[in-house]
Amino acid sequence: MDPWIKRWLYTTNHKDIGTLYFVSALYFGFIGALLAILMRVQLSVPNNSFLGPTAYDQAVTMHGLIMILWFLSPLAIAFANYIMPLQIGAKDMALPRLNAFGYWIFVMGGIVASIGFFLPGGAANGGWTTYAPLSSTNYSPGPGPTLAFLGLIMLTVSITMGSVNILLTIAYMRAPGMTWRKMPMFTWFILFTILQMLFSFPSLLAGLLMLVSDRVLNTVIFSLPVSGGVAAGGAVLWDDVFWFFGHPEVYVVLLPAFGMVTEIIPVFSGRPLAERNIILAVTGAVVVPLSYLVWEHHMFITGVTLSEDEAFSVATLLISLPFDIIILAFVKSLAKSSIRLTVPMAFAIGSIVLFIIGGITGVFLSSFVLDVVFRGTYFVVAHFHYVMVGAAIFGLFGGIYYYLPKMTGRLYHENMARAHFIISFIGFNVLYFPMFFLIDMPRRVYTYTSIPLWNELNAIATVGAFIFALAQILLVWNLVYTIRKGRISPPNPWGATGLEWVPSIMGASSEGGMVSSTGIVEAHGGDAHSASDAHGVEGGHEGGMHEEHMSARPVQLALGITVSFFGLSFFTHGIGGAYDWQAGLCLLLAGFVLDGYALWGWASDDLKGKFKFNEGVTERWPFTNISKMRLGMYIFLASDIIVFGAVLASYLYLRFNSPVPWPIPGSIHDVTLGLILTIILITSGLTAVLALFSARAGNTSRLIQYLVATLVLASSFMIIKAGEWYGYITGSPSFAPWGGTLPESTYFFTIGLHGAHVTAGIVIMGYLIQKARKGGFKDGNITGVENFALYWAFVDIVWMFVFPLFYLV
Amino acid sequence: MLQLPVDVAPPTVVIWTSLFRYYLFLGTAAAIIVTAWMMYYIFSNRAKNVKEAPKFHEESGWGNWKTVLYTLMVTGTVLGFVEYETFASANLITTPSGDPMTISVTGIQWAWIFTYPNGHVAHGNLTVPQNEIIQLNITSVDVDHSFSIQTMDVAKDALPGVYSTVWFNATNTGVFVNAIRCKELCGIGHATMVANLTVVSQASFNKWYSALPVQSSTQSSSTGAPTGQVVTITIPSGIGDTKTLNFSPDSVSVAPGTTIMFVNQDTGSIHDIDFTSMPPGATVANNPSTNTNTWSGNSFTFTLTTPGTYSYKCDYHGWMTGTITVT
Repeated sequence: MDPWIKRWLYTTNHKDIGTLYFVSALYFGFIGALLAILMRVQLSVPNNSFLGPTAYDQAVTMHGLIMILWFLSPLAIAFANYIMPLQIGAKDMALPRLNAFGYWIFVMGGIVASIGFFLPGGAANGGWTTYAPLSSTNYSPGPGPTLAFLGLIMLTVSITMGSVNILLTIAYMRAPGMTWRKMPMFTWFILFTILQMLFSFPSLLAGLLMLVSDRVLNTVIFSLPVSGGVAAGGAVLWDDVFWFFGHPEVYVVLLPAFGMVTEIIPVFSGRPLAERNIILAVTGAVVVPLSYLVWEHHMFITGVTLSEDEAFSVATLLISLPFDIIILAFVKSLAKSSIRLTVPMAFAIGSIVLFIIGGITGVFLSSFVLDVVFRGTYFVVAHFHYVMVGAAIFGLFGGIYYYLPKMTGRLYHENMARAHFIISFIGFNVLYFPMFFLIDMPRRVYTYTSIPLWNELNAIATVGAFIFALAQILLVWNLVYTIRKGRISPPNPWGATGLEWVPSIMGASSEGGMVSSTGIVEAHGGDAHSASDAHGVEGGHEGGMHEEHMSARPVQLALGITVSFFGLSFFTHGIGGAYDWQAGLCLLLAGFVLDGYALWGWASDDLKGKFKFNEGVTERWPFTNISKMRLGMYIFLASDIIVFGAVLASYLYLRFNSPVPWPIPGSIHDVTLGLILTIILITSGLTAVLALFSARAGNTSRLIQYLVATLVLASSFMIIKAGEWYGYITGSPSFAPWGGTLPESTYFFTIGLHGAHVTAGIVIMGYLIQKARKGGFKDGNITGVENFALYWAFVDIVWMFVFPLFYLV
Repeated sequence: MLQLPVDVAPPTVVIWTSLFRYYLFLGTAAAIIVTAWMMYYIFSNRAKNVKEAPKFHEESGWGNWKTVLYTLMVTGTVLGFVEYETFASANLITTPSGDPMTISVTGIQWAWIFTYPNGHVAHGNLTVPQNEIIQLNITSVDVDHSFSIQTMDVAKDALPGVYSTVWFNATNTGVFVNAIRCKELCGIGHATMVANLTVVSQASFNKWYSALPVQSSTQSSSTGAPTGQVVTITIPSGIGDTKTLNFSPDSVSVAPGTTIMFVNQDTGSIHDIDFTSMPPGATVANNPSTNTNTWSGNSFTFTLTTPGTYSYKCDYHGWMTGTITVT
């Protein structure tokens, strides 16, 4: 294989992956912008027929999904990968292969989600909120929407992996002396972002899993048909599950940009950020937790009670208070300053100005009375574009210009960059400000009849869209120019004080490539002394790493999942051929084989001791007594708890709102059999703990015995479960996932999700037994067994909820 | 934007507009003050020598708590004030007292169906009397819609199985073209899911209303079904090529007087509804050409009153058959 291709496919280096995220995010941003331009052309004049309703709905849906989830967040993640480890003096991300897997599953998820454009029936077309029941197969048939939701699941997996990884990096990989108090602002804001991702995306994942189950397995969780329509429950349930994710996602998009702004402002105003710690305190203590408690303001007029509206309206106002403090602190940081109005600074200030407008109109929308008229109109469109495009993109673009000399070793073209800012700022306002006046024009309409003011305002917005879009050519031009011809930058062109600007950490190569292909790791590993000198920290890393920094496994694993998901999408709605179902099954199995191969390789790399990093001396308070992998497991389980919490809450919601009586306890499920399953699982929990104790005692043969016992118990649990399901499905009357009732759908979905966890546990046990046989746990490093014991306890505890909820009551 | 003089404006418009003015005034003032303040600092503090980076070594710490306190006091007061005004305007969305005229609104892909207390069913136009409080009971039979009357500044989501209400009082007579719109993406017909609001004087309304034929749907209350219930039968997308698909649902049982609405979601082929058998004495017009290569105008509505079993098929696709049982 060509070494260049091999490097980018197999790399696990944080700078390489950051670069990949960067390029991919810009690519997806280009696609999203293209869709936006198509929409603006369609809306430029009334009664236009440039795009039909089918094409327009697909454009509006995919524009939202791509821009928010495949452009904005990944652009922030690119900086989190590239810059954040440098800022805290980490050698790399904590889990480099997982990092690579997170990237590949993200980029392939994006392809899976948007491939629907080229399939019969088109891409997803129900809006980025994918409201049920419009997103069900009845109202959105075809493989395109299914693939979009599967692509979203892949993105959620990527986010979860990325969150665990970044959190571990911040918790464990900080250089000695890099205490929490000294941690740079961008790293802090990434930490807040990650905390929000970690607990909001699982809710989306739970919703998407149920939605895909509806589409592929014909369950009816969100779209129970009743005589003449769709039953109550599903629509409101989806609203809640989605917006519990959807509102924190707004801050997920915004906070990294604020992190950039807080990095840029002190450097170019020549004075420290005003109220630095207060900004951090209010963001961490108010914005992050409160963002989970305001989601209902997206549902003010769904028919909820007045007191709910009032409570969430007040909560929404409360969350605006920390932002008032932050903005005032930004303003104060410009007082008594000496401002160098460079391009990064201009973008940072632009970001603040646009956030002021977006934020204040957000206060308008927090009024549940005003929202009656604003809801679903272009006023809302203008508001969230001021926040998401204005505040977030301008902030991140500022970050691009600010870190471009760091990433390329070269200076950008100053005049072109200035032109980029000025034209973007003008274009942006010409595009979105007129929309504030379209208070009465519904969103997502593909056309409108000629109405005074609508015609003019839409025409102006379209002109603005072209100005704003064409301005971005200057950015791309400047990126290419900087890499190829830009003047060589001094190591610290801005006179910044951050650890990332310490000269020996420069990632530029003499050829002027984006990142040099070799030498980064060594250079980075050996930098610590100079870095600590510059930053007044003590100690240093021991020498550089020389391990092979490439792995084919992450990209293989991601590819396997992609192939499987293509197969899944063909199950109920094929591409029109006669053998869709069979083709789907073949693809699914092919994907499984590829995944198995990748995981096998991953595990055997571990058994051979590849990718075994010396943790070195780092700052790790408060996790001094917890190993890195175990903290990772805690974080993963915390997000998994939210997944199961959302699934079980959905079950209870549907059960209490069921249009028909729920079956009497014991009338379907055999309680005795359930009890036997429970006893088997509890016993396996016991043997898993005994395995852990044996490992701690260093008794390998006992460890293997107990692991095998756990494996046998878990397998018998699954075998009995399979027998039970076979009995339901073939019984009379049959009780099957596709039976079309809520008791059937919720039972098979929830038990199936738990069963999938048990199956994953069985696979992990197989690996652990193999590792134990090879003596892998002899040297006292028993993290693998510890993590498995934790995971298995979690699987047991989930069953402790599932069993009574489904069998007993 | 239709702006009425405030003295004759509908009460809901008065409530919304005056609240909006509070927010607009304070919001604009806040935006201008903060932005101007920032711009002042930026232009007055420009560095003399841009080449040379200023040095700063002082550590930024907690900063000045007083500034934060003042910020909180000022913004808290302003926000508290506007929120108080919002709470005071909540009567826009609460149910009015008294005994208003109640009209059911059902959202369906892609039309609004209005059912009056006497069972009269209309779509495309909502006729209401002037100067009378009207309450609308809103729901949907398929996907999420959002019902809004723009000239009245009222709106509520129409969700399947969820019943919610809005009220308004029309103070001006006239036909308000496309005043009623859907504000939630509900499929390809979302943009044209509009209806007119017709406001007539109370005398003309009573004359029109009493002249309407009394619908037999009121009998259906014995089966527990609401009066003027609408049952939708969908022709799903792709049915012309997929023999496993059929009318959805292909078999329904309804009360006498129920309105049956066929909705065609299949843009790929031609369909019709041909009744092959029906109970003696019953009449229903066959729809000879629900030819819908385009997506608009693709619904077909009729009311069944005679009990019995009605069988129908599509003449173009042999696998498309269904029955309606009226009991």
